Amino acid sequence: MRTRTLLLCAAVVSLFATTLFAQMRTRTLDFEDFAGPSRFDAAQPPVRALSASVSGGEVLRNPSLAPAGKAAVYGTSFACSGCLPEISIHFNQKVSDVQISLHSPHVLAISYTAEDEQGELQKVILPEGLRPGASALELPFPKIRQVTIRDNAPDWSLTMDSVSFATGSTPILIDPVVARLLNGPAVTTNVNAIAAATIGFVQGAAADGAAQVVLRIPAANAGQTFTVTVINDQGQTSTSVPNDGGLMALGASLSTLSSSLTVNAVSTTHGAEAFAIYRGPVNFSRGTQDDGLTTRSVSLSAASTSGTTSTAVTVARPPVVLVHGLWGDATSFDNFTPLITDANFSINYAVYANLITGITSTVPTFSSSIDSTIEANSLGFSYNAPAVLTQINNFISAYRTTANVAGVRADIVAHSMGGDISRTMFLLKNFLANKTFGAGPINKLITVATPHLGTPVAADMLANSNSCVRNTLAGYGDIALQSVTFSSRTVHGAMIDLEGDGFGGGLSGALRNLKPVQPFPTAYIGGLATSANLNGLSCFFCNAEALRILCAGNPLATDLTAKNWPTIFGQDNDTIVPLDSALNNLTGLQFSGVIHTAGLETLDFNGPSVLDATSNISSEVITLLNESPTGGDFH
Amino acid sequence: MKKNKFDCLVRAALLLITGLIAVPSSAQQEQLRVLSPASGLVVRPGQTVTITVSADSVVQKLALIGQHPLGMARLASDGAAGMVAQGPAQGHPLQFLLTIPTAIRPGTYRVSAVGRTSGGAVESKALVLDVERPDHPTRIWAGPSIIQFTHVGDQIPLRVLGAFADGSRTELTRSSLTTFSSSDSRVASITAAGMVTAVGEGKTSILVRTPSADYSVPIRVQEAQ
Repeated sequence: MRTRTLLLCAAVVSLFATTLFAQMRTRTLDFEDFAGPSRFDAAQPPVRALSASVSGGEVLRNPSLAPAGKAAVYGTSFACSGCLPEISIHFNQKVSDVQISLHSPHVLAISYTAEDEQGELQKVILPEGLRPGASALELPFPKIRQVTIRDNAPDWSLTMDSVSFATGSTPILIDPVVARLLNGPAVTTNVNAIAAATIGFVQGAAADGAAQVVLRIPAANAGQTFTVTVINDQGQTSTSVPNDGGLMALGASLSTLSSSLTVNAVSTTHGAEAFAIYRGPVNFSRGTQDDGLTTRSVSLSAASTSGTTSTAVTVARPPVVLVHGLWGDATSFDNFTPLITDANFSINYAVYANLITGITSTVPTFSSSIDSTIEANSLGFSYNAPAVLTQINNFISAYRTTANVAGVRADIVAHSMGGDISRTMFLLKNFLANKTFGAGPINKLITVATPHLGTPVAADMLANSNSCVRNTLAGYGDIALQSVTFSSRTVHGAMIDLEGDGFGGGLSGALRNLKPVQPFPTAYIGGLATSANLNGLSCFFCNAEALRILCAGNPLATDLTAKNWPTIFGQDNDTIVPLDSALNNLTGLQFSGVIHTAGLETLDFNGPSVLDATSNISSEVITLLNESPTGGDFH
Repeated sequence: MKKNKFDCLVRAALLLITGLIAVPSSAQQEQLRVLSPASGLVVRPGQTVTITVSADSVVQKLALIGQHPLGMARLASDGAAGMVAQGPAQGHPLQFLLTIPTAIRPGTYRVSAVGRTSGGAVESKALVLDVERPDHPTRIWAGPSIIQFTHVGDQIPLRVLGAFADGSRTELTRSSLTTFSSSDSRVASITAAGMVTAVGEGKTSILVRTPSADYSVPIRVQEAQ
């Protein structure tokens, strides 16, 4: 790349901008859809929107810093930890006529990188920079790939309201879900609607096996023929639709997906354009070479008699949603490393731990003091499934914005009852929504210690003979419920939904509903407690002994010993969930020397729990997230 | 089918009856009392709190239990060891020591005395401890970082996390020092616990505040196509 100093003042050259690029479509990136503090604190990951990526600082949400009617700007400052004295804007395609609204108390140094006629990148420095105060930077040049704005003062401070740019005749990618271009569970065939779309421009697609992107190709005239081809990351024509994604025509079925497609431009209300649909890969990782990546890429080339244009397509991992279990919340996964700290994954937490108010009765009954502490995580599958589904849909939607890719499904990692709730979502009428192309929002499900066939502990907890244990554990916050009535409705408690002998018998109605359902690829992980996990029960002056003394005569209290506890199950177990139940009577992955949850350590079971880093289950989950949904560990 | 229905009814009746017997009534609650400290006391992670309980003579055994991860408190009075006081005499308050775990997340935690009498379970009124760190976060953030509702009435909980000068991070959603507000309650409302509800179509933001840092989450409500 060569660097030169431009002798023209940007402000002067900008006088020509409008006429030079009047043919082009202008897009404006603002920061209204992004979260942030009201004043500088710490650098954020790059903001990705349209075909741009902005880095160096953070989003500030403070109306006093933003133009009228807006609430957010992008900025950097010496007061921001980890921020740089410059903001960089990278474009993943050639753009023109860049206009940026800036504010700084200092003179700003401006440079940009553009392609020359030979396709080489040249860095251009504007010698006069930009004056202090509020300024509009205008770069009326073609083929720009990057802009850098730098404040060289020791107390640097710089904010940016918006960035607008023109994309010219390059084919663009449109997320039909965001652009509201769906007709039922498919992309509309209304070409005028697609041609008119002004939102939903994306840089790629998630490898979730369902996400679709519309490719809009400007044409010289109706009837112009384009051959669109998927080019893999080796620069070769793709030979694998599952690995690289595939193309189909508007209105065509998924069975026609291929690596190459011929389309003819049609006349639209916005001129002649050709259209194709690109559906992303089935799985992100094609093997170990992708396991350490956050994104990979393919490109779509559109060849016609007037030349070939190419559009880069980012292939991203689907977001991951962690779903906690009974009596849990997001903190249940606090020690689930390395997954939760792995920057290759977008980790989200679905939480159903909100306080239930207006309770008029429960079965079994508890004191009003306990009733006032009942959270949704004590309630049953069907109560919580809609709330979890809403959150998953939002995570996918937010992921589309932050990653700037089309995506309709997430990978779910569920602990304990979270797996039952995830499977219950399939029974909801809005699960196979149009916005998921009828595929549903779950790409694959990984359950960790989920009682697919129930657990005998559930029936024990509801038994009359264990009322003391039940009331005592309620003091810990572990409230075992058969049903709850609040706001004039009665819903199942979680405990009755979890009933089952663990072999497949005695299933609750909620579990019976799930038994024949296998709606998405599912991998099962089960834990096996060993004597080392139970030895702690033989303690004195401890919680376990206290429960045995306080609740003497209750079978569960009597069984709270290293010798007796395993007899509750009659098979291997993680101290709460039988192994056959965790594996759903299928093949799965087994981990020895673990207990069901860290909460049991309060009762003097010895960890690690299945969600502790030392269980190594988190590492196994990463392996499964990389594995194809058609791989051997998925049913 | 009929048998199943009958079994179900019998079971429900038994549970109801047992529940009525087993559950402490308000009268029973008075048989156990937490005398001190006062509810709402602010305590620090790592601090040991002395809690005084009195019990009527009918109480045969009692223990002091805190919500996870507090667990049971240890007896401190009269040289007694362990966690369960047996045969506490009327008029002789018992002292328990409850140590707040250092890794606990800030928020309110319920602590109550539970006991057994010949008539069943008894329970004190709950003591609420407000666990708060002595320092304030240098920065906070919330998840989801964007909320895009597609149905009015849908709810999504916000989770607030904080980073501290000592390098630690912790969840602050339930801290009494964390507050939430909506810029436009016609679009979205938020509860004190951080539950966001879609109210009407439009855009707004939820502002999360702590004494030392804030964070704003954009909200969009747009009915599904």
